[in-house]
Amino acid sequence: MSTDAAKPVAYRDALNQALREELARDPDVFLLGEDIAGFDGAFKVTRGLLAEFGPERVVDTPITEAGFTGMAIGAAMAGLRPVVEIMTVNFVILAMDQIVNNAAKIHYMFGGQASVPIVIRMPGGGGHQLSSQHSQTLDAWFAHVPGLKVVCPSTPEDAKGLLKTAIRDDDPVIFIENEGLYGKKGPVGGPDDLIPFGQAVVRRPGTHCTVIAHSRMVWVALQAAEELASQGIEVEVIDPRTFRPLDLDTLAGSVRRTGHAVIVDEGWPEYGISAGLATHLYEACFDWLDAPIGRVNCADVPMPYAKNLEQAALPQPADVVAAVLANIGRGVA
Amino acid sequence: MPEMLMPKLSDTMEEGTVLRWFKADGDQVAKGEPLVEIETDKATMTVEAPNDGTLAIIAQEGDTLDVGAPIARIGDGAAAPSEGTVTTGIPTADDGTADTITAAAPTAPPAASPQAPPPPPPTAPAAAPPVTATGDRIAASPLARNIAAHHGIDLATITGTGPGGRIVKHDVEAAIGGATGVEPPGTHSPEISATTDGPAAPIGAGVSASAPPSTPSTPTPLGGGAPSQPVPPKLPAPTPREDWPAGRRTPLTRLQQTISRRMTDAHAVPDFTLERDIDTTALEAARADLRVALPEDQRPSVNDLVIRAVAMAARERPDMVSRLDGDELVVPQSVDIGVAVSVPGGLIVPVVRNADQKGVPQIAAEVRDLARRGRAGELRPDELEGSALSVSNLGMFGVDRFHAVINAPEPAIVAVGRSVERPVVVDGHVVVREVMTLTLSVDHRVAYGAEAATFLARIAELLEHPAALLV
Repeated sequence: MSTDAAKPVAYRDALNQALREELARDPDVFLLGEDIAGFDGAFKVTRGLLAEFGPERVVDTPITEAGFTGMAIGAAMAGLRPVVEIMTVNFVILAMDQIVNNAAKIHYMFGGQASVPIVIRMPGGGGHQLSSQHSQTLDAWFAHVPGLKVVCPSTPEDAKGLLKTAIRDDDPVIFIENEGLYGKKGPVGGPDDLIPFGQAVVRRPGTHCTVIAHSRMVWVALQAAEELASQGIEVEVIDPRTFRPLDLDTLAGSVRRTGHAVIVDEGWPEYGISAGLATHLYEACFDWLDAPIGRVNCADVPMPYAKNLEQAALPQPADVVAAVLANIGRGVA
Repeated sequence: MPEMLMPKLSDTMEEGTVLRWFKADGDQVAKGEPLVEIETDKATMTVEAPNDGTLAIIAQEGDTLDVGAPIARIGDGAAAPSEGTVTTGIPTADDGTADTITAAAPTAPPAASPQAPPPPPPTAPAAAPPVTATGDRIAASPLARNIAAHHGIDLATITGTGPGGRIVKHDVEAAIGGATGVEPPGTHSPEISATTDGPAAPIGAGVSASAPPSTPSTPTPLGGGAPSQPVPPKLPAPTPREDWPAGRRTPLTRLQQTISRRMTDAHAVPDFTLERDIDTTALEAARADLRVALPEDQRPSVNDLVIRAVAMAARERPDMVSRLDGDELVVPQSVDIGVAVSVPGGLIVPVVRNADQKGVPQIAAEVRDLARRGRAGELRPDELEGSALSVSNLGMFGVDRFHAVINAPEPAIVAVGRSVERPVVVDGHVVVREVMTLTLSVDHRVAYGAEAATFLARIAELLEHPAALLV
């Protein structure tokens, strides 16, 4: 860790640091996306990078997600390391053909003769009254696809360390940020601090129930953990950080210790991240489970616009508290 | 065999107390007949039998259980859990599963430290799940089955306390402790503790470029290895006050516990009070007139007329019925007025729904009925919930005026003193009039002095012009 580690940095600025350091380190790295150069990015993640690295390496694109994503995949095949910014996860749907049919498949279909070292960054998540089409959490869409790596950082430190790892990775990496986290401040690592993929982290140790949460839901889970602690219940909050690859050992190890698991996922409940994790845990921990695995998800509806309905649809700390209490039941009293 | 669970009889009910079984263990019961009396935080209710069958009581009279906990089984008498139950497959499970659990050296991953998680349990031959003689499967968590199998405990001898009566780890451990005397309930058996030493957040270096995770298993202090401890009960047990003089101790009833909690909550409300004398001469005359017109059970008391006046005023003043929810004010959709009723050992506040839309005779009849049933303990929880404002009256005891405690989250309460002849100055002359003092207590976060004063003035205006109450 450098001496910078002590200074709290906002999540968006941690990402900015990672981009700046990697642009400076490797001349093959370049950025492209809508409004990322002249406007510094819709969420100001690329602030100042145009001035520092010039228009050849920080490229504004037209509003053509499929077009510039395909262009970046081609550049990656040719040996460059493009970092694509999609303004929000809701617009990546236009580029899914390029991501699923090309980025994820080319290394495999060409027998390893080509690889696609691309990073596609974008924020997901709801809670800002942006209604159904602009409040989505689509982590599961990418985690479903073999050939992609899927990364969901929850802290500034992870945002920086995992983005640097993503840029240096030879495979296509889907890097899903969260609109609700951009202002979140915390310590970050230095230029050489990379965070490897496939390593979950224990955000809070505990013994009575394992709570698995990623991205913004980590903070929801930690709030719930505080509330539960006041009732004498200590939950272990674990952040998987990456879903491809997945650190099942850490998740399963915790669940075997506690006998209880609750998964908190801002995505929809059906066939999603929480469903996939639950299946892994049932397979790995069946004989250690003292109750069915609990899940707290976004309501299975298109996101409502009304603030009260939106809050009701999104997982809240109270929902996590209730899920843990229901999971533990009377077995620990 | 169908289980009967502790029902959730009100929105706020978390646990209930079994007061009385109307049938004895082993009796035949018929669907719909009164079976058991349950005391909730708000009321005492009779619960009917959900189906026909033989009653097997689980919760004894006086037991307090969480909502959803089994209180009885009702079914074919032959299936009573205490008779003729057998299990199958336990010896097999003991041979296979137990050895695996206690194995000290994990087989995978190869590089794992001694604290790595144990290998997965064997997939074959799997023990058949225990069943009762009649074929009912016993609900038990996989972990509970595992521990029971290892200790040779017959699951059929254990009563489950998990959701739906599921046998969970705690139940088996309690049975182990009870059977052997070696371990107190709630502690982990050594074998299971051994499984608790899994890795937490492994710290490793290097980036895996291939998809499958390859995770070095270096345990960190966070991972701990420490076996989990039993959770203390949610509510700390009261510490007996040894420094107090000896005296007879009586536990609070559930109603008294609720009142205690609600009054403590109410203490947090920053309130103020306004008093106003009201000339009730005309009101008393109107009551006398109504005696001629109405049957006895619809004749209004002064309190009924105050309820009517408060409801009419409240309909005009949503600001005075708003309640605080975080940073928002919520206006109830109907003007429901709570009426404080004294009951043996406490106080309840039944609710007159839509009191602004009901005539005085109807209010009078409803309040009588609510009070009678309230004193008899026959009110349903939904008849005790959701009032917008409350009215409390101690005038019948000769009280002139008093400051009532706001029934949070309501924003205000009206305290009614007695209506009595007093000397009053009218047009420069001392005359005798009937006078009553109303005291309005208000949540100062919701409403302010001037607003509350005009609200009270409107109530006074209505009561001093009683014909207005009859429209």
